[in-house]
Amino acid sequence: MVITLKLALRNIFRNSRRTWLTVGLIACGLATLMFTDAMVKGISQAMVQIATGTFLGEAQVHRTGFRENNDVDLFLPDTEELLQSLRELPTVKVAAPRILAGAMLASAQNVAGAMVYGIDPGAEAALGKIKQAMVQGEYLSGLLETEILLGDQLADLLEVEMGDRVVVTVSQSNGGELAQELFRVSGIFRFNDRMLDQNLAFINLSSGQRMLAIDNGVHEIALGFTQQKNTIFPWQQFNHDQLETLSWRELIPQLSGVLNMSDISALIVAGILFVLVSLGLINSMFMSIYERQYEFGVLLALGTRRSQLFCQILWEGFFLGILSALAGVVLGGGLSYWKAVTGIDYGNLEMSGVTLQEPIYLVLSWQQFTLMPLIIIVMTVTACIYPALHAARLVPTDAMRKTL
Amino acid sequence: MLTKLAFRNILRQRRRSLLTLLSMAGGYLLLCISLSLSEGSYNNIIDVFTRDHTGHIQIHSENYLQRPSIYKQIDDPDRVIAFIEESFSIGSIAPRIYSPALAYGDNKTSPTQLVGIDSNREEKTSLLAQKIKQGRYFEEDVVPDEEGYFPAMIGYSLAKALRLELGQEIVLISQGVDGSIANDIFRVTAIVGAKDSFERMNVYLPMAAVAQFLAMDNAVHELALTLPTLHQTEKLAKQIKATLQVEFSGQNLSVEPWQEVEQSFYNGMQADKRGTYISMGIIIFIVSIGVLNTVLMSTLERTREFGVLKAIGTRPSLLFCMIVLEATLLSVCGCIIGLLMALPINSYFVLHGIVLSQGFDMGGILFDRLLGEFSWFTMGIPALVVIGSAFVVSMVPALRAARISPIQALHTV
Amino acid sequence: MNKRVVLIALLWLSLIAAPAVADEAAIAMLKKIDELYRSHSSISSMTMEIVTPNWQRSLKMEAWTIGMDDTFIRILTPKKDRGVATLKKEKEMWNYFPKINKVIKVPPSMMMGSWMGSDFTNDDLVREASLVEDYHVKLNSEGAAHHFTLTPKQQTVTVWGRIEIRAHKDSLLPIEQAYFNEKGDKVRIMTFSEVKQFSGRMMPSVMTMTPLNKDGHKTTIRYDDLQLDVDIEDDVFTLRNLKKRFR
Repeated sequence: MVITLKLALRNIFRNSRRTWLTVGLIACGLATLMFTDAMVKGISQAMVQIATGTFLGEAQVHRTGFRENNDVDLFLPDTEELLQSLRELPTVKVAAPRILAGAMLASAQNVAGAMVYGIDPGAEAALGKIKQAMVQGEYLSGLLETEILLGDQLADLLEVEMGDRVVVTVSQSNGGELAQELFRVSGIFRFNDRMLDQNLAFINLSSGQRMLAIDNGVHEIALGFTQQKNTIFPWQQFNHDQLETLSWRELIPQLSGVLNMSDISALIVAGILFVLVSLGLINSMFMSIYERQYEFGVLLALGTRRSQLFCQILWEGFFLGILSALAGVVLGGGLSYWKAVTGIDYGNLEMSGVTLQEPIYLVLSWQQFTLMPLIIIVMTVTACIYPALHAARLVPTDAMRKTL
Repeated sequence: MLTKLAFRNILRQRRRSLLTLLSMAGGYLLLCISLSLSEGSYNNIIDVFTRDHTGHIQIHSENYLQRPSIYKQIDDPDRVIAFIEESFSIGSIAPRIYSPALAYGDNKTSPTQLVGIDSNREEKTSLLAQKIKQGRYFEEDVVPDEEGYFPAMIGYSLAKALRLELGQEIVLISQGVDGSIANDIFRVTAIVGAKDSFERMNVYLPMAAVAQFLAMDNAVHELALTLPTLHQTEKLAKQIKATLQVEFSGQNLSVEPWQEVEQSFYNGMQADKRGTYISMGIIIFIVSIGVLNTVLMSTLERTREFGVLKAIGTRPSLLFCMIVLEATLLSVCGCIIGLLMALPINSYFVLHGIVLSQGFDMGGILFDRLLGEFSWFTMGIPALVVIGSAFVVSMVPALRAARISPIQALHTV
Repeated sequence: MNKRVVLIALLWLSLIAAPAVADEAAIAMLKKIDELYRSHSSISSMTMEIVTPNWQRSLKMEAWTIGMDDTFIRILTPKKDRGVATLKKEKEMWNYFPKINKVIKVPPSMMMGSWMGSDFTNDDLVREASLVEDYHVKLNSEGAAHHFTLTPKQQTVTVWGRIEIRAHKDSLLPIEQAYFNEKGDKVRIMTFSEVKQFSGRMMPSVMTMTPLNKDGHKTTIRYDDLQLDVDIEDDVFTLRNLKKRFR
């Protein structure tokens, strides 16, 4: 056993050029695999972060049926208790209650339809990016009833500036009585998304509740989690026939579709890499076996057992695998780490309505450093089975006929 | 003479050559298939997306897309259509009228987008007819029913919001182009789309009915064109624009390819394509490393042989050429074998594709399979990569062999 | 010392009180102007001329009003829109369309929209409160005409920063009503002209509304006949009446 090991080790270094070539190939394969994986993870994470971190939240609670057509009457009554219990969950970083209503906004100059959100300024600042998106004026203070934030394109359409009057008209819950209230533009925000900047207005939650006459009710509770993994959230605990809690995967199915798609393409790339690397490996193993045919013939003629020969070649493959895995981890890990710190500038790209503006930072994970090298080693050994079988089946007399 | 020699060398080392050949063919095959799948799927997504409702090229009155208004019209659409059909080879062309309206049904109201369509042309241009969830698509010549109501196809979400079902009446209120109060009842004959598709809040009316409703006389807001192929969209849009500006100089018509009409989708696709190119680059990189590995190994093995050749007086330049030629010949053969393997696999992908267990949704359109594509790009690039890298890589050992002294070479193992 | 304080206080008082007295008078005057066309009740027939860059049309209509709350309007011509009627009761509004024989409530979201395509909004029709309830009134009587400046009260829900009304001094007939945003830009202007006698009273028979931020838009209302303080049955202002077929 030990002798086989030693022989194998010595053999792979006998023709060190070929060995290094092979190791280089496999290491490059592993490194690109690690890099691709880290990049796909990085892009996905960036997209999810932007999609959920702008305004959506990682999950939302609604009255069942509300999402079908945003019916003002389908609010969650008495949410104090619900909010309390949501906030007590360790997974929940922030729970932001909202009311929302389709409204007509009028200025002295013009009229425009918009979605008006009544929000809790404190919770919302912790959940989303509204506060950071302010381009003029101040974020809601929560103190003034007449505060309203408009998207910059909406403000453009209404031809209003800071401090200008805006009259909001909505139909109240339970019967649709007309309610009109006066607001003053206290801030203008820009998300750089036409849908949001043209159609959204934010007011204080209490103003909204009063306007719609829904007391303490809310239409939506957006949740921000402490971590992105949402598996720990006790979805079932809160859902019943009146209440539905949905994660971002269900709220924006397009995005999770695209993410699934990129997972699949990463898998395909990985598969192709494996096949290519195996082909190269088999090739070089055969090469080395042909070269040593004479030697094997001699060994067999001297009475070496075929199984021993077989094992020896597998061991050679194993050592090659270890070497390559080490080199690959160093190469791939270094490359990925470099880009995980500096980021890849992907330009200004938009995907499924999510705009990426910051560079993409690669995401390193433990699988890249454990599972992938392991797979590479297993793969090298597997790829050696065929050449090893071939060597073990050699007929000594044929093998000893030396070619040039 | 040189080729003969190279061939003989290749044939002599049959086993080694076979291995190298297989490895190159494998590289070609994989590169070819991955290129084919990514190009094919990409084009498929664009094709399905543009055929859904946008079309490949749209014609509007100037600035309609930026700020739509019912007064930005294309006058005399029949003449424009006839002219385009005559002057360009296009797939189909469909006129449309758009107007915002209020819809009432069952005591509920909802704002809606009114779309007037030519049933026959629309069916050939967009996928609307295939998206009927309930009911039937418009007949060829749409006439009012016995109560005098024109049929209307309404979006899924609108039907939900207004609690309307097939056969019920939908009331539409809008303002005609003459300022009159447009109001009429229509009969719901079909429900189209799903809850997140493009047409969820639309009402489709036959052209005749909507022209009468809005008091529009021989004018439309949009002409949507499809083309036989996607390749020349932008160029053709420019050509059409130039000719229309001459032929219909009185109307300020603008012609936009889908890349402009659906800008955010286009940007998304571009970004996606960039991502795909990165992974393609990685695959090309690995394939060429594989070729490098094989070529280097099979030539470096033969140092002794080259030494002998040198010793018997072969000129270094001849040796160099022979080695490079050998590698290149091998790679060409490898590509041919790869091509033979790729053809049936690729044609399967072109015809059937890979069905994804979990499709994904883009702007309300579901994509559930990866499709392949046959083109010079998907079949040629892999060959170029394999042959090119074999050619370049073989120069290294070839140079070495040309320079090596025979004695030294004969001493190596 | 004490005397001086009292004197100053008195001076202050008079300074404050003087405009207060004037305001009372101004409010009374403005109220009169506001109710000019409505009085307690009214029946009128009028022609509305709408001009836009793309089309222009003329509508003849009849209107019934009681106080500021109830309004009923029916269109007589053009033929295409004949019979279209609007009922406004307090804060709610309905339209009736004879062609489809349906009464449809104007949804809140459309309240700010234009009424029958004119430059008047549905909201202009719905507004039931007199201007004096929602605005502080200041009167400047220098020059040839009364010049009222109206600024919204704290709690008033309005988009206007200021409304200015000019009226003849002797007759109190309005000349012009201008709407400003808070920056002081004039946004729309309504002018009154062609004084005629209706029900024994003189009043301008033509009102022209011009939005200044929309080029080429103008709406003119011309009173052809106006009867004031006539008896109107309550059942005019009902949905049933709205639905009643009209030939």
